Amino acid sequence: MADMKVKQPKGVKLDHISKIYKDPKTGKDFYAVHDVALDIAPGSFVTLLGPSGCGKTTTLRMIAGFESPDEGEIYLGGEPINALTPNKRDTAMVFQSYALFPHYNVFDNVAYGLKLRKVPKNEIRDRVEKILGLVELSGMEQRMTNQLSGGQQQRVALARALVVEPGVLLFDEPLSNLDAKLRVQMRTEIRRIQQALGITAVYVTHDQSEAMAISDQIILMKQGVIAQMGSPMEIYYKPNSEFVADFIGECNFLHGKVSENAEKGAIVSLPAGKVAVRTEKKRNPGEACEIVLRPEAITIGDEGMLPCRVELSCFMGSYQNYHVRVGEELVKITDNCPLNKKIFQTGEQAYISFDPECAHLL
Amino acid sequence: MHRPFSYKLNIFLFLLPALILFVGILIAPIAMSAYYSLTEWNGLGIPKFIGLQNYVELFTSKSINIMRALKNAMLLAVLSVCIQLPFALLLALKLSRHVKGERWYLAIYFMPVLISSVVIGQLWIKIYNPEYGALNMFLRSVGLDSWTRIWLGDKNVAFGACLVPILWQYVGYHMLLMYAGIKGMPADLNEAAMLDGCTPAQVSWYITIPYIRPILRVSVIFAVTGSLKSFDMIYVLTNGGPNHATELPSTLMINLLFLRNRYGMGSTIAVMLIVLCFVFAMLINLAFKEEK
Repeated sequence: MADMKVKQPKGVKLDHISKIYKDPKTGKDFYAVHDVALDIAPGSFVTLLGPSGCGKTTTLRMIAGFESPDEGEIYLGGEPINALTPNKRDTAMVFQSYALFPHYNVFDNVAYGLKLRKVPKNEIRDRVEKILGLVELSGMEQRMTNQLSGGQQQRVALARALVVEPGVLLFDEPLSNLDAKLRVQMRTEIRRIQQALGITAVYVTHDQSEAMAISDQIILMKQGVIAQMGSPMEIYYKPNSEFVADFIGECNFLHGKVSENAEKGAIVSLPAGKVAVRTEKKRNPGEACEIVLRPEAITIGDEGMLPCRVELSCFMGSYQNYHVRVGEELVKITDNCPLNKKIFQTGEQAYISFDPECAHLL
Repeated sequence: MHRPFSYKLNIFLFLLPALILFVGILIAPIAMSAYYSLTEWNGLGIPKFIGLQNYVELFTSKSINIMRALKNAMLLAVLSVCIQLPFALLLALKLSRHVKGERWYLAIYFMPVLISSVVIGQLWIKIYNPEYGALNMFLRSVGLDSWTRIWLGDKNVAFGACLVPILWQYVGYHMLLMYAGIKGMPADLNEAAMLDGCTPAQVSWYITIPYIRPILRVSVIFAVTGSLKSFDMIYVLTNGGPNHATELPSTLMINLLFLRNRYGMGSTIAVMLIVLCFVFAMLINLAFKEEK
């Protein structure tokens, strides 16, 4: 696989790009993407994540050249590409629907881009064979695409995009049409191949677990703007808003007021009691705040930081799922490996605790 | 144990009305035509069974001259496939690319299909009128007086003059079929091809046209069988004249049936047309057969 490194992965820079559409109902203009600025390093795997209509696909399509930004400039490998048509940009794309040509067999689908680039026949054969080997489809060259399973079709789509050795590989929700098990398998494959080839990848998905599993960096978008960008761990543990915290994984929010600043954080006063929370930013005493707590960061016991009443206790195999009432707020707890631990039943009184390092203050 | 039988009986009972209609409207007339084609019958009295004599006469009689009618029909079929369909395809490809006023263009091109052939025929008779027709008036106005003709009365140009409205009328029909096929094509395919390096013309040639191949097949079948069966426009424009120059199998059949009261011979032509349409449809299907 060493000889299959891409020629030169390229970086992508979006310099404050915006895309304006007209609302068909009201006739008014609105921003589908607004002032998005980001730098994607060569060879990195970046995921544009967000709910439907957040502008992630529009951003990807602008990089591909299917849409033109109304404001801002896109750079590929340092060169401005706004004026270039899709076929002149050094990109390839894996589509949600695979977009395989139904009248071509696997070999011809993969070889298509090389034929258009007038690559010699012998080289086409060699490169197609190598890439089909990489996606583990050797021996299926002569099959028509309708004779392949969904996962195999996705591999052909990936091979077709990779074989032209693009500077940047774009993915538009490529796993949406696969079943859950195959999705997990394919996302691992995609990450393996991306790392093996050292290619720059921009990936669009609305599935936060998919984004967490494969990305070097996640760009979380909401209503056309970037809500937060960072590594999966940063986004998960240090969300900068309730939206980000809620979108990535399950989350509890405890509303209170900053009581005082402590040495490594702040003391927060909640209706149920006072707790210490780690925060890098100094807060003003009396300021309203929210403590973000992941369900797996909370423990339940006979003693602890905050009293609670158990409202739901459910055995889930690998963990015990609790819903507890802390003051007025409902808190979800994932208590891993419940074997040999005390199980609290619905209606019982208990206490919750958490490590201040695992709590995040908004 | 009786359930499967009862289930099949239900299916049969539900299908029976449609089957009766199908047999009554389509199969029975064909069978009757096949029978009458083997008889000498003037439409009254009892048909006289004569075996294959009608078929022998049809292909040997100089007064009927079926070969001339067939030659005209084949020419119409070839021109339909070589001119009408490519033109319709070009229009469909162009209009499917988000042209401004797309719906208006579609409506305008499709309009001739909605109008009765008799009305269109009358319109073209006016256009071809040697005295006040638009065509001759135009030729005179640009100094091409020598090009003026009695378009529908000159046996050398009459069939060519008839071909124009026949081909023109159904361009919109085929265009709409192809347009629907192109619009039904996933946008991803075009975009994938563009990213692979295709120009718009290459996308049309290598991706769009192969994708709508099943629709092209239907269009070719309709164009060829429609040409073989073509009747109404010729009937209005020339009724097969002058001197049988624009004769088609259908006009010949009508003349034999209703002018010469030769119901047996008319049925022979009807059977020949059915067989020809069937054979051509099979051949076209074979030519378009895809690799599975």
